[in-house]
Amino acid sequence: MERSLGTDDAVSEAIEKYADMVRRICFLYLRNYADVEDVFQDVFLKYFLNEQSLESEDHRKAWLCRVTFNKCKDMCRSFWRSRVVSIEEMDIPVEDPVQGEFIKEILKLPAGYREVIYLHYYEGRTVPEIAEIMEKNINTVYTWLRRARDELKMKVGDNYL
Amino acid sequence: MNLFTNYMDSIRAEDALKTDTKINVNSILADGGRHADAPQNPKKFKARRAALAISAMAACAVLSVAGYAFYNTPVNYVSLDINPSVELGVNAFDNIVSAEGYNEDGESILKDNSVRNLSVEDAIAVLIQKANEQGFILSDGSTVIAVTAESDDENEASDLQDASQNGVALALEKCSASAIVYADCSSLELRTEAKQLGVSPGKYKLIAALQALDPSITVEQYKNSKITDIVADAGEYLSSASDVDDGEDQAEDSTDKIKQAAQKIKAAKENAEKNKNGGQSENETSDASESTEQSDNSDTQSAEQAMNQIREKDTNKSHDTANPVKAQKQSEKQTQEQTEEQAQEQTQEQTEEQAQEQAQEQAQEQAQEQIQEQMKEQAQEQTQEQTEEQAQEQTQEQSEEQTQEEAQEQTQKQNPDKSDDAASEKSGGAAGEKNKS
Repeated sequence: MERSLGTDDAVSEAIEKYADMVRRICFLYLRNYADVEDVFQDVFLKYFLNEQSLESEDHRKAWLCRVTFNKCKDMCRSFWRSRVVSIEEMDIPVEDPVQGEFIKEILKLPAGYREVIYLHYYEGRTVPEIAEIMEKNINTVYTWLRRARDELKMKVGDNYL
Repeated sequence: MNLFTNYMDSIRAEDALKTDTKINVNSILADGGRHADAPQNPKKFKARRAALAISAMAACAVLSVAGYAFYNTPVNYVSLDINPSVELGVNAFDNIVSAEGYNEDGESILKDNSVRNLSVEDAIAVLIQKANEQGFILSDGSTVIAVTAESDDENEASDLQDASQNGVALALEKCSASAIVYADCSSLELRTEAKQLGVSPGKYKLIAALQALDPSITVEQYKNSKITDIVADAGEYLSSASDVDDGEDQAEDSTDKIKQAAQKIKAAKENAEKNKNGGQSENETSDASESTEQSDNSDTQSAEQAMNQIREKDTNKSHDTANPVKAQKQSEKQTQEQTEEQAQEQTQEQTEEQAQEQAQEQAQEQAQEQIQEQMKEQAQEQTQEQTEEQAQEQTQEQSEEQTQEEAQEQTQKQNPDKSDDAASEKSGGAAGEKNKS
């Protein structure tokens, strides 16, 4: 069978476009570089296999977010992972210690909460969009956002929010 | 949130990462991408998960099989012999895991009776009751029940012995029966020998003891005998050859027990006879001789026991140099044995005393009867005398009457006319004559 957009250039292009976003999401969930590599491969492979059904740019981004997020969750949840601690754990390179603290606190949030924070504050998505991406109820997203903010406030103070 | 966004901004996909991903994706797509849709990782994870789950189940299965096998493996054995011979397999938890009858009678008390999983004590209690129901335990208490613990570990052997003895005692109490208990232990080696000959190990040990006393005895001879008979025969040999006491030390212990058991058999049988016949003088004298015999034996027994204790301590030094617990146990056992013997002696004495009292009472009764008879005789004599006297009186009276009658007749003859006057004259004349002179 022939793929529709299978040229090396198309592959290259897509990866260039979306790699950063995928990388950021991976950062939120994975601590192991090998895992990141795995996720990248899976995500982009899937992307090229399903490309046809993705029409708009917006749609593609949303789709990639969802797939990456799910892949990361699977990774974390795997039986293998919970048994094995990788030798190479990634550090979080940070210049400002305060910032470092804040980031760490975000990373301590439950998985879904991190996602909504990222999508809302970094990607600038609206709640309904987030709900679609994560395949969750809109009210759920509202609740998660609220709770996440409350927890961060508790731990870091009001200034940074 | 600026902190957050700023930081996120600084995160970029590494070049190497991008390049590698490009290469990999391209190669996979080139190989017929559609089939590679399901990436390998989830499969890997699922496969791993499945593999772990299966190995966990397999491990559980193996452990449970091993555990089951271990539970069911006999570590030691206990053999119970009366006339029925039964061998019970005991596992590491002191529960019964196998039961084998060594002769028909043994199988008959095992039939319809599951002793599996019972403790040693309970299993033996059940089997003794069954044996009693089927009539293997005689009511005169002379039956010997042999319980033999077979183990290569001395502690376990003595524990099993005690537990078995308790089981027997419980059962006898329950059925209100009495019997003589012979408890011993043997090694597993002996057990293998016994099995080869087709005899139960407990019986085998006793037959071996018999053979030590009389080498001409074969196992075949006694294979099917009652334990009671084997012990009684052994007792015969021992009492006739009592100077074999300086034999081997281990044999000492068993021979001692056999002697005691044999004596108890004798006592029980004689008690039974006594109760049958009641206080005849023969039994009185035999009682008297027995009581002196037994008091002698008790002295020798205590002396022997003291010697045995000393000897045992010597032998045990080789096994366990510093084992006060074991020594204590043994001395406890011995004191228990002593008190049991004493109790038995006392009961024997009591029964003898009762027999004697009965005899005395009967003698007294007889004496009384004799006295009564004598009195009766005397009374009879007296009455005879009285009647004789009366008879004599009567004859005297009769004769007096006769003489008077004769006298009257004479006077009548002499004075036929003047019968009355003459009589009166005569009497008057006589009277007058008398007056004149």
